[in-house]
Amino acid sequence: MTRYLLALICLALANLTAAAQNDAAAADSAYVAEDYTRALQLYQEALADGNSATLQYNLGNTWYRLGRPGQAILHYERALRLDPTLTPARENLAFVNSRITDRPGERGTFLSNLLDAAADTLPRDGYAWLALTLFLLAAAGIVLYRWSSVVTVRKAGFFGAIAALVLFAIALFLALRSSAIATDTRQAIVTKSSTILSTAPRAPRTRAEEAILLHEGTRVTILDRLTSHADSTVWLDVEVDNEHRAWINADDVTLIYDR
Amino acid sequence: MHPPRTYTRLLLTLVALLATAALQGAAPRFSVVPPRTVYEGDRFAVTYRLENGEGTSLQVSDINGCTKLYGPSTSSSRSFSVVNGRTESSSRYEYTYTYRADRAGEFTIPEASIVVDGKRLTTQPARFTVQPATARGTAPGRRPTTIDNVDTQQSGRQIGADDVFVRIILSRSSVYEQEPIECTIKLYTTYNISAFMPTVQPAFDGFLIQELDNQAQLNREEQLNGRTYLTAVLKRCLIFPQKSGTLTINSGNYDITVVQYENISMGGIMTVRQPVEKQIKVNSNSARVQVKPLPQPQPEGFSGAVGTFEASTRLVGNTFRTNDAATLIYLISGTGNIRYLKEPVVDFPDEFEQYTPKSDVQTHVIGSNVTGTMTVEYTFVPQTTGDFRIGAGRFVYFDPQAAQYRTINTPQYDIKVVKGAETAVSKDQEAISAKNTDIRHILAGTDATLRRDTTPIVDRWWYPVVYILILAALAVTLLLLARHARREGDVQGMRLARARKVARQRLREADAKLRARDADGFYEATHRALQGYLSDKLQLPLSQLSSESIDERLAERGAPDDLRRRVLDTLEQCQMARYTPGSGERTDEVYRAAGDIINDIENLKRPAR
Repeated sequence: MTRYLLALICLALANLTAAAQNDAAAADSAYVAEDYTRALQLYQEALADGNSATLQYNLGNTWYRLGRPGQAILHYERALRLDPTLTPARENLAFVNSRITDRPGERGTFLSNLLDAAADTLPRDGYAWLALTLFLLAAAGIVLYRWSSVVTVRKAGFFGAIAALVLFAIALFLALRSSAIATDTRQAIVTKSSTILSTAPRAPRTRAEEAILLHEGTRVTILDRLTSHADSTVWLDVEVDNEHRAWINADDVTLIYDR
Repeated sequence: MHPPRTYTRLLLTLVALLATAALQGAAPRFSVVPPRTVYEGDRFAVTYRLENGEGTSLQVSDINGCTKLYGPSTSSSRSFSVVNGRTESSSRYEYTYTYRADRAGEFTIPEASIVVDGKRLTTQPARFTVQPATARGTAPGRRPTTIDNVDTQQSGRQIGADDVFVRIILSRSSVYEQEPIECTIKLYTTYNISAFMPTVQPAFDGFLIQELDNQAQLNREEQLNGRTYLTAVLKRCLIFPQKSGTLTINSGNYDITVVQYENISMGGIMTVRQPVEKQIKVNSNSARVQVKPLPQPQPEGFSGAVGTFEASTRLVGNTFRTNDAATLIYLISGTGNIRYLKEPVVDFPDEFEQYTPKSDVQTHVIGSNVTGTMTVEYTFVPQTTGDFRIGAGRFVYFDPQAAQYRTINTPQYDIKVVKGAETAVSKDQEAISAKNTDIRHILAGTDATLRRDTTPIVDRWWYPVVYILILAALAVTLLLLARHARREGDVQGMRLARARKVARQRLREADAKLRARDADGFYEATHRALQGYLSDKLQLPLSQLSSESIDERLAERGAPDDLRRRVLDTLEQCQMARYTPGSGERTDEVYRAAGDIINDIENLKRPAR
């Protein structure tokens, strides 16, 4: 009885995987056949079975073809969260960003941008594995130093261990930064065609309360969130770039990384 | 025979022949013109008309039921015309009899005959109706004006809106946008008109107009609402509605001078009619057109062509050179708003310099439609060599009959541009430039990359655990290495440790023999254990092992005298006991002594070296 049950579960699992593969492959063909509505639907079905940078990238392309640059940017950003080395996603993100209405000013500081760029030079888990490897190397170096009776080997082990430890510290730092980027819940994309930001955490009542006009596709950084007492809408204090900050209706944006 | 006379006769014959031909061409005709509208008690005229001939002995019978008042009064007219050097003559005699209609009813004008050139011509009987006086309902002065009865055109009369007016006649009242409608603006009058002046021109708001040829002549009679009018076409045009909805056309305002007649009494029953001019204003009439919008959505490439069309393209020439102008001819022919078509957009690559297209439209009107051709010449100059594809396009028009859009695909031409004559400024090379950019294509094979959990490994529970495990492993390794190194660094220590282990093992052997009460075995095992132990401990090979050497080495290691004596004694006892039977009772004692010796030697301090 148990054996049958096990076989049944195995079969069901196999079907599930096959279904997901069919979805993604069928979506690819639909995209090539320029049936973007169907491609979108199939990619989203595939998303229920698992996530990947290429899947997000393909979704971004499909949204772009459907004339929704905001959604496209959102999915390219998600693709880059999963794999920052996915060059096509980076290129397409830059391309679509150059086509949207808003051109934001400078964002972040020189140092933070540099560190982010450094953290993005390897695949998402690259630095984590590198740190682990360096740590193992350092341990090996220590063991070598302690174990060998040959002076050069002992020296190599000692200095190698020190170098590996320094590199390990850097790699671990970048791995943590990379992970922080990947799971940053403060980044969001404007997905409404246009929205007026308010100077206060509620809908602007007068012209004087209208802060910024943003269009679809612009990335914002969420700093704070408040629920309006008047109509219980959620308002987010967002930073568009280093110089622009205002409150936006939470319904008008979509988080890039949403737990 | 006199030649001149012959010529004269010949000439006369020719003239006679020609005259006969002319007469034959216009045969004499005899007809009757019945009266138009006659009311009981009215006077009316019946006219017999003889054309192209001179008649004699006219025979006319009276109309039964009507009183002949007087007649015939004769009038004649004659006309000559010379067309292309040919002379034509026509003549007309009219014999008019005046009757009075005594009663209402239907009457027949009996046959009348006349003799022309010895031949009798007879008219057909004609019928007419005399309306009862009550049908008129009004006094003679109030009856409607008619074009042929000057009695009704008295000068005192008010000229009514139905006596002189302008009407708009549309061929259709419900059309699609851009679908042509024939519009005729017509003047209707029962009076003669001596002057005519438009003050406000007709207004066609929301229409494009194509004028049609028209000569405004007051020359046609037309029945409308039971009355006969003289009409003149003031304007004839095709109008193309430009927007949907209800559009209104105004006929315009006119100042018209009409002719009325004044009766002047000359005394007695003699009256003379004198024409009097009277100026009136005719106000604008309007007509409405229901314009249906073109169905939505409009297909891509539609630029407002409505009708039925053919479209084709033609490429002039088959070799193309850089900097050498070439021409693509686009020909659209058909029926519809061809005059207002936009020049179609033809797809040329960016590498071609293009000039403003030249277009030529030839149209002619058939009924209420415009037919014609539109020829557009696209001149282009290839700038670089290469293989190009040009001219692919589509011409989309709306067919109002079928109420749907139709598309004509124009062919594309693959042309090869070769290097032409060098221009003054010739570039050797050009930087590669992207014509267009787009997003990169999708990446295939997504399936293999799908993962359910995409949390970065740094954030997973096992990642720090791996580090702790590595650290623990390192610690253990280092500990083991330290111990190993300690032993490796001191060989004696190694041997000592081994010696003790071996001695204990050997003594355990002896212990086993002791328990088995095998005295001989026991002594032998004890002896061997001690010897082995000492050999290892004192670093003496077994062959060199003797009482002296043992004693000497033990002394070197700082063993007290007591210990040295015990070692030697025990060794001797063991040796002795092996050859002395009955010494089994002392085995326990010897075993304990051997253990003590090993322990004591182990407890010796390491020599300071």
